Amino acid sequence: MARPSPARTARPEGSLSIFWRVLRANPLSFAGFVLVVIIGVTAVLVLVVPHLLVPYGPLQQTAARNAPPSLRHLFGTDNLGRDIYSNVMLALPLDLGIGFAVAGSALVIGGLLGLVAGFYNTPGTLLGGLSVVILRTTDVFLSFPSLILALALTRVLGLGVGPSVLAITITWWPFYVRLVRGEVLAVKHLPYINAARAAGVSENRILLRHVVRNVLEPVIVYFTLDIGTVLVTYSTIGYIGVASIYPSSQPEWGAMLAHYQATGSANIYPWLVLAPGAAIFVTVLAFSLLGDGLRDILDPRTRRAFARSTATHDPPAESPAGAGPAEEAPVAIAEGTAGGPEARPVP
Amino acid sequence: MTDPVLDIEHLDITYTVGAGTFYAVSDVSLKVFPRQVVGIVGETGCGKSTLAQAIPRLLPEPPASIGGGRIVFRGTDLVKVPKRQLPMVRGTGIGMIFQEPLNSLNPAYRVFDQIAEAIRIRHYRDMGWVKSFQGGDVPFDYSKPAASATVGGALVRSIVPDGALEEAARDRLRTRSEFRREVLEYLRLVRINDPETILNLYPHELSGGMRQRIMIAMALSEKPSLLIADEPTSALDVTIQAQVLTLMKELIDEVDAAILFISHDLGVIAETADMVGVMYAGRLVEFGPVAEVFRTPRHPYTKALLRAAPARYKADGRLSTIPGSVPNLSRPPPGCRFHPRCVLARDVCRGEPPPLAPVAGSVEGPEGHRSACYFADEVPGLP
Repeated sequence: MARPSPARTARPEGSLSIFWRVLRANPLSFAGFVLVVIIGVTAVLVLVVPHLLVPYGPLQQTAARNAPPSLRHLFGTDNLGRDIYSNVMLALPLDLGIGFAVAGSALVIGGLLGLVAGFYNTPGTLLGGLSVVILRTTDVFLSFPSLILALALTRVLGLGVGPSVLAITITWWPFYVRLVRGEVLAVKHLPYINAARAAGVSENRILLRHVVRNVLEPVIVYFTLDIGTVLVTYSTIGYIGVASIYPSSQPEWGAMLAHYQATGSANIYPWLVLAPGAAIFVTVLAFSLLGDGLRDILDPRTRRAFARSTATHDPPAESPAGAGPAEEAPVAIAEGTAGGPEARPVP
Repeated sequence: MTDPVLDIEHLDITYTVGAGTFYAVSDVSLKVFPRQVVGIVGETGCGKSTLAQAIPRLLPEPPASIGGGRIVFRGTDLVKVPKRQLPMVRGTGIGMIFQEPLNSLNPAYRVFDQIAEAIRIRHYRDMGWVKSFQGGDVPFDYSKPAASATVGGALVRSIVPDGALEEAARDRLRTRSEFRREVLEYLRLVRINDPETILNLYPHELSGGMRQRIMIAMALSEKPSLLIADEPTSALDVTIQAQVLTLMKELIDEVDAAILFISHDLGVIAETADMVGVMYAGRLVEFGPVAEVFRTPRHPYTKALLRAAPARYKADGRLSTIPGSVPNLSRPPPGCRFHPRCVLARDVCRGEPPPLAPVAGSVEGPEGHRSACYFADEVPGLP
């Protein structure tokens, strides 16, 4: 059986190239990925070189009042001649940042607590007691509807972006505790954990290397989807009017929606609400699509399957035809090796 | 006589589940000598897997607890090792092959990483970078003496005598390629033909037999002096089973390790083991050389078990069974646990449990044939 030369097969394919191929294999997640990249780059550009993408100031009043979308005003203007496109763009970095900040801190806080609660849950030990405390606290938070709790907290913590981000984060982490703990519980009883233990791997290292790696995949997917959910929640709070004020020097999508709906002009000039609404929609959609794609990329099983299916019509440079049999029929080689007359070095 | 690698004495293991206590392993004593293959047979639930996992202290404690007895491995009583120090003991001399090859490899890592992890731990321990367990009655005996702490740089090199240069090179933190070479060696040892390719595959890309080979390579890479194989072939289909068994039998000759082979398959044990222990309801009821135990069993349970094994080439008649059922281990019968199902049972069997005593006509010492039955002499006369 012709074997590819050892030098080439020995090199595992780089994770970047696998990432790329799996993405390319699924048009929807590829679209999500492209959208997320565009959104991210745009947000950075708006922050760094605003005049490039934002033609008017957030509060700048132009002569065109209630103008429909045109080349001068891409998303039209409102009753005072403020450019809607500029406002939507200026809100992008803020809304994106809020999504990452809330989901990120919830991931870190909830993730760590979930790891502890899931892995060290032996009753009777100190950490076992801690895990009970974590879980009961989580239950308390989960028993409130999170949006209502976030609203109430915003009232207590005060108006503005910072307090409302904090408020959402406080209601957000318990979901991650539950998610991570559940995944850890499922993983920690699998035989390979015990196999690692038998090999002399310490408990902490088992947690970090074996458990975390296998929990990561659903958690990252959830995190990506969650950025969208946070955005919607923040926009809701902004819509109710307790998070951000519009019009202001720092616009925000939810507050924009709320403002134009409250002033009644949305009925006659729909672009006033369509533009920020579409911005929320596209951002949430992008992260949802990417999240689904990440699931495929992070799981070695689907990853290889995808990479293989695309390899036939898109052979990567480092894997020409010779690698075919090895990749396509692992079982065949596997069985073929039984009792082979190989050199048998004794260690 | 050499010292045994593993010396289990009067081991008791119980599981506490809710209010009930299950006496999973009771008063088991067993010796495994270097390069010996000891098989443990018994039906499901007789405590053989519990015994296997108790040796490297892999049982979750709680619910399991070791009530009494000693597990002496190369001079250290593993029962006395504090929980925190267990990782220091586990990878050092006891290799373990598990029942489920399908789930015993971490799906997220390539074959290389799985085996390299075991090698790396051994290497760190050899270098003295990882603390080693030194408790117990006798200091723990590692296969290699811990090397003196290494200091990088030319100064050390220059004061090293010429002959020791190779020694010094070995002490360096090894590079990935060096680990790779060693991993490849173990893959070849378990008869993997194309190790360069296999190295980069994920577990799900391998067949069951292949995965079990990787597991065996992992266990061997720790250079164990005792290899515990907990039903290594039970989850595989028959042809693959035969391949893995052949491999294990070949390895027995090549690797300097004693093997404790747990199985419910009498045929597998007969093929591989030197000595066999028969377990019933948590107790070791018979122990002796495989040929002797299987040809002339001296415990009524062994006799009944052998009779119940289906004959492969005959299809006529009903299969023979043992009347009655396995006792509930939360309330085991007093005395001999087999007495409710035993044709030889008399009053004495309900009193003190019979000790595992040498049978008449057998050689003395650890190579002898022993049976835990008061009427061992009457067993050969049974139908």
